[in-house]
This record gives sequence, structure tokens and C-alpha cells, in this order.
Amino acid sequence: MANFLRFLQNAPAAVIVIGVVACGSPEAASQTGYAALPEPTSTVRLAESAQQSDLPAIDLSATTTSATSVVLEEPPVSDLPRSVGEPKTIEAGDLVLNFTLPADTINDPRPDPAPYEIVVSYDRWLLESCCDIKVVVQNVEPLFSDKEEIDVFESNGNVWKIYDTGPNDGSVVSAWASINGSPVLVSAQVFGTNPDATPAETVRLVAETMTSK
Amino acid sequence: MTTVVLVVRRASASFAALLLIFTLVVVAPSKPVSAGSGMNTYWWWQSGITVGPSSYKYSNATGFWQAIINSPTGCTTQVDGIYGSVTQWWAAHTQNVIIGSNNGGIMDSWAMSNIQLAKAPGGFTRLQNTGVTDGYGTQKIYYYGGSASNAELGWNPISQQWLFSPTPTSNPNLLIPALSSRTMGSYAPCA
Repeated sequence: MANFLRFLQNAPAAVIVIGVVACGSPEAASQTGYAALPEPTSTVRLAESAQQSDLPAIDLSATTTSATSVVLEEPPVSDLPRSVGEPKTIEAGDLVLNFTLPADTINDPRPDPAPYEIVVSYDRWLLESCCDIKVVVQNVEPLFSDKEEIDVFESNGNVWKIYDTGPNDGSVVSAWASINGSPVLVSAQVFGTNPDATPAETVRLVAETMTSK
Repeated sequence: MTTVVLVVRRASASFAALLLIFTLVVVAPSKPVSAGSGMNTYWWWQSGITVGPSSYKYSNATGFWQAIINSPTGCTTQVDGIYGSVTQWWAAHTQNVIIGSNNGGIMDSWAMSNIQLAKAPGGFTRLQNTGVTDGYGTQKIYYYGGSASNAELGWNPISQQWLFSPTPTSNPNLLIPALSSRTMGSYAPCA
């Protein structure tokens, strides 16, 4: 009896040991089976003595301020500069979309993103003074957070909703409308460091010109 | 008699402790993981976690970073959600490539902020929104690390959760939430 009571007194420690052993995953066990590290081939030095204090200081408040420095202000539609860019066309099955890009827009030289299964048609351009511009036709209706909605407008019979997405600082903006039953998205993301970049205005300019046949 | 009472009281306390520990050990793993854990803020460094060999070592958040590491390093790291020595080595390499220095391969707020805000040589932000948003609210995003293989990511502002594809080449549509727990399997680099 005395031995049993002594066991109970020590039981928590025993359970901890059992619990830790029981929680060990196969992956944890296999971790010890890793082969030796590859030989460094570059300037990487993974020294054990590397200390956080050795790192260059980073002012997170400064980077945050930098990331949120784009102020999203929606001017009245009548005040927006009118697009004089080149007319563009996107085809997605029976749907043909015609729209106009802002002046000075060029083809985005970067490779297209991965082929997502929900994308029916995709194209991308670059307005170097502002942002990249993407026009996407999807086969599923996108879901956006109501909290991110910043504007709703109608143009050429299409009702567009604009969202301040991503970091919610005006640097990534998406608009979408259902055109002839197909979800069409116009998006823009700030390119470069121009503090006067206005992705929301650019998205609106493109969306306003969009017609279908 | 006093000794017996004392022993019984201590035994009762041990029973209570034993019951509490059994509850923690047995119940905790079965607790459903709620949305929005791990990498759960748009700005990675604001998620409040450090991912490394001694913090969230076994987690989908580790898988998130392994997916990113494979972009600048050219598909070097198995995406298994385990922050082992190989992951740490290539994480340090990634920091050297993207930031210009490393902290020993730990993804802390310093590394997260510098990697997320980094710009590519062309002047554009490495983290690129594709303009594609699915029916669940996930925005398709990729991270350009400089190699031929981008990291395929997703941000869902509704559930406040980052996601990543462990198979950016064969199936970029497969996205796994970068949770603080490990629910993922193991995938070859850039599978």
C-alpha cells in the first residue's frame, strides 16, 4: 500500500513522460534520420553563434508605415482622367469583352501566373507609373469580404463592386461584375514605389469601359 | 494516524494532478483547429509567431515557409511541415538571397517582414496578387523568389488565413492553410 501511494505521488511525472513519448510523431522520429547537410555552396553561413543581436536592426513600425503609405481616396467619377489607351479584347468562350486600358500601358513582361482551374481567360498589363492591371474571366463567382468593399458603380449595364484587398492599404484593389453570367475581375497592384499610384482609380477606369458582345 | 491522513491527502492531490495532465494530453490533440491560426495576418510578421526548429517546428506554418524557400533556392526543400536542420539551412540561404543576410535560418519577425516586403530586381514586389479570387474568398498570390518556380500562395481575408501549395508545379490549385498545427503530409520539393 505504501509503495502504491508513493507511486501515486510520483504519478504526474510518470504521466508526463508517457505523454511526451505518446505525442511523438513518426515525422519527429524520422527527423533524426536526415542526411548530413548539403555542403555550403555560397555565402550561407549557418553559424550556431548567429545571434539575433547580430542582425541589422529593423524598424517594423517604419516598414508598416511604408506598406500603408498609399492612401485610398476615391474622387468623383467626373474628376477621373479619361482613358485614352489602346482598346483591348478578351475572349472567354462565347463571351467577348472589349475595354480600354490607360495610356502608357504596356504588356507585362513577366510570365503569367500558374494555370488555376477556375480561370477561363487571363491577361495582364503594366502601367509603370501605377500598377499592374489584370483582367480575369473565371468560372466561379469570387467571394470578397464585405469589410473590404469600397465602392459600387454601374457602367454599360454592369454592376461593379470594388474591394480594397490584400493589406487593405489601397495597394491591391479588385473589382468584379457578372457579365453575361460570367464573373469578370479587374485587379491592380502597386508597381514600384510611386507614392501617387492609384490602383483603385485605374481599376475603375478599365471596368468603366468594359462592354460585352 | 496523522501520517496516514497526510499520505492520503498527498495521494488525492496526485490524483487531481494526474487527472489534469491526462486531460491535457488526451484532449488537446483532438481539439479542432480553428481557422486563422499560424500565419493569420496579411503582414506575415504581425502573426506573432516565430517559425523555426524550436518554435512551431511541427506545423503547417513551417510548410508555408518551406514552400517559399523553394522559390529562391530552386526546389531544395521537402515540404513536410517539419522545421529540421535541412529546412533551417535553406532558410538561411533564402534570407541571404532575398535579404542579403541571415539570422541562422529562423523565420522571425525580422525575416518575415524583409521577405514579404522584398522587391525583385525589376522593381516589383516579390509578393504578387494574381487578380484571381475563388469562391471561398481566397486570393491567389505567388511569391517570386527568382528561380523558375514561384511559391503558390493564397490569402483569405474572411478566415484571416494564409495558405500555400505544396505542389506548385503539378497542382497549384491545392492550397493548405498555414496553421500553427501540423495537419499536412510530406511533398517533394516543388512537386
